Amino acid sequence: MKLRVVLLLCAWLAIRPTVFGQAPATIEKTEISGIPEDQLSSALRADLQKLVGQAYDEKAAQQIAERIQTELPEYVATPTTAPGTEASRILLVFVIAHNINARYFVEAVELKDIDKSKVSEALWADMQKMVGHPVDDAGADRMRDRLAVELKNKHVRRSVVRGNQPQHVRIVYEAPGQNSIGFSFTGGYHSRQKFSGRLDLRYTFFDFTGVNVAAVNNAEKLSERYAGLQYGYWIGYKRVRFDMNYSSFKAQWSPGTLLAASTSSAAGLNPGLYRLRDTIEPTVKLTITPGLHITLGAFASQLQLQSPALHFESVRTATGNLEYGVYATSSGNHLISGNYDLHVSGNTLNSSRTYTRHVWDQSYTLKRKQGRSKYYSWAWDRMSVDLKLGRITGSAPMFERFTLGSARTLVGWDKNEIAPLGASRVAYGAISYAGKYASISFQSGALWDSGQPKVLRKSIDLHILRLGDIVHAPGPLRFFLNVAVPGIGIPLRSSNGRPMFTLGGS
Amino acid sequence: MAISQPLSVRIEGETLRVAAPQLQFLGGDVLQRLHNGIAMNYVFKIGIAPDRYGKPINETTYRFVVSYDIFEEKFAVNRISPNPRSITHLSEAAAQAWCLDSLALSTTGLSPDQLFWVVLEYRSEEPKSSSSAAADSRDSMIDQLIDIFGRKSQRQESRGSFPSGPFRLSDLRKTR
Repeated sequence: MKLRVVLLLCAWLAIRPTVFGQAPATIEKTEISGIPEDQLSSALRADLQKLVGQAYDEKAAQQIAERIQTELPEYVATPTTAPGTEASRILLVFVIAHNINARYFVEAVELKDIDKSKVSEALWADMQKMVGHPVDDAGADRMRDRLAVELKNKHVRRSVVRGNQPQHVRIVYEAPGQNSIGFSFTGGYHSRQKFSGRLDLRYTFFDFTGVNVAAVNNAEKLSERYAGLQYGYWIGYKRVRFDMNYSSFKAQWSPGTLLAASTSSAAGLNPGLYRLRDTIEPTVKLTITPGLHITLGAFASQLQLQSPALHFESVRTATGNLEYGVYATSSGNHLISGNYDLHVSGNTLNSSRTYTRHVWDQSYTLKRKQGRSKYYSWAWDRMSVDLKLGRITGSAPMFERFTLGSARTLVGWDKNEIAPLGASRVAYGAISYAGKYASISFQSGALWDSGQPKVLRKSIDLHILRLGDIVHAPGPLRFFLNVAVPGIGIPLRSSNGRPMFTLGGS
Repeated sequence: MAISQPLSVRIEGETLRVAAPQLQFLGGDVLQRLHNGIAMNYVFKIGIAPDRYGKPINETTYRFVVSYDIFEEKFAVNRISPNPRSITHLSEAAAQAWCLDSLALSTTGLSPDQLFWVVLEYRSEEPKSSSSAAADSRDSMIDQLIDIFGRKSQRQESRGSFPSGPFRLSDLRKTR
């Protein structure tokens, strides 16, 4: 019986706060934060004082906040509470500020990407004084400015992030470096043309100027496989960017190309296969609007030719490019983009080749929006239509001639089989659909020279996207499988329709 | 690049009001800054011009402070001038609409058949503390050059100009 009474008493004590609620805390003090108190009317200040000693009532506090906002309509006034000197007492603080986050209390002040030893003790102590108080933008910005002076870095940023306690935040100061170094690797594989890859190393100073070095070995872009180094320097000012690139590439030709070249030479048409290609290319890019860019420039290439005897050719070309991208609707789902590229080379430039090359690339992409904009990825659920038209007149060097049949265009065909010497005309189109884990595209294109018949070739290209996620691969393996993007290209033809396997496409 | 749709203009009594559903001024870096708990100042100028490139004849400036509640994930907007007012718990679209709904232009002096253009300009910047302003003035020439040529200014964020027209008062929809 005694035990039952004790248990009942314990249960009563346990449920009492739930059933009847906690006793309201007593207001120990009221404060105004964010503005001098004398900006409020004397009547309102008097009513604030009357709250001291009373039980906290959320509704009454909200009414006072509304009266503050009526007197100071350009601010947001929010009542918030902080622990008082005793457990049953609270401070009632009315935060009056432009920034809505001023109603939260600072839990911690932190540094990110900043060596704390470079911050003076006095400043660090002053920064820590913000802890326990509502967020004060002006005060926090003063700390940022002092930090910027001590670090000699004007680009110190401040952010306010959620804290670990409810209604508490952390103020984080971050100082991005003046210098940044980055590297990247892109690569791909085609079962006939084998591996292609590019390793980039970049150094950037304040997003204002930079240099980069790239090691390139590419078998898919041009008729030849080319390998070597590319060096670049750039400097940008608002909407203008100047680039200077120098590259030195060694060329390797496929047996099919060498055979076709010897046949062509025997017919009196030397295609001009080269062993080395050194190019210097200055360009100026003008950004007219964020979606419209014009690039003007020139390149001078020195080619070391191997036939009929070792000799050099100099190709000097003026270039122009118009690049555009327009969202057809405000939702940002319909993107129309493309570019027109023009190369002109002739005697006036003292070039050993005279030609004009036009290329027009156009694409339309429909991206299905998924959920909230900051979470959905454009790479998923995408349909696109691409069109490429190109024409060369005159005697263009091999690196300017068009090709199709790689890990990206007319997948399933081999460029060395379709047109081993490239072509002076190209028409190519693709319709693609990319889901979350796979993509499929139908591709069709033709390469021909002036006066030759046009042969339209078609293929179907399938890719597996995010393979690492599909097989739930662990750690780094998942990353590598996700970027591998294995694919198969099936040529649509009546005979010998052997598929090509690719990696890194889509 | 979003296609800039013309502003839609209507008459309420003696004032012109605009709507620009395509205009998303809370975007990009500015939105990122707001999500980082930083308040942003916005200045809107709206005026009537005789032609597309003409100088506005009666321009009114509106100042706002926009902030983003990092816990509630809602926007708050303070209209600083004219006619100070504040509003909280807005979605991104509602915050933008509230700013634009605040803009008004007097039609006094416009005859019903007179052709005119409405020019809306805006710019945003992070509020600048007085100490940073003083620090800017002490910068060396090298510092200033780096600031001009270098990383995008931390404070100047975005701007836009949207001339729209031509309109005639007699053709405009009257909502009141």
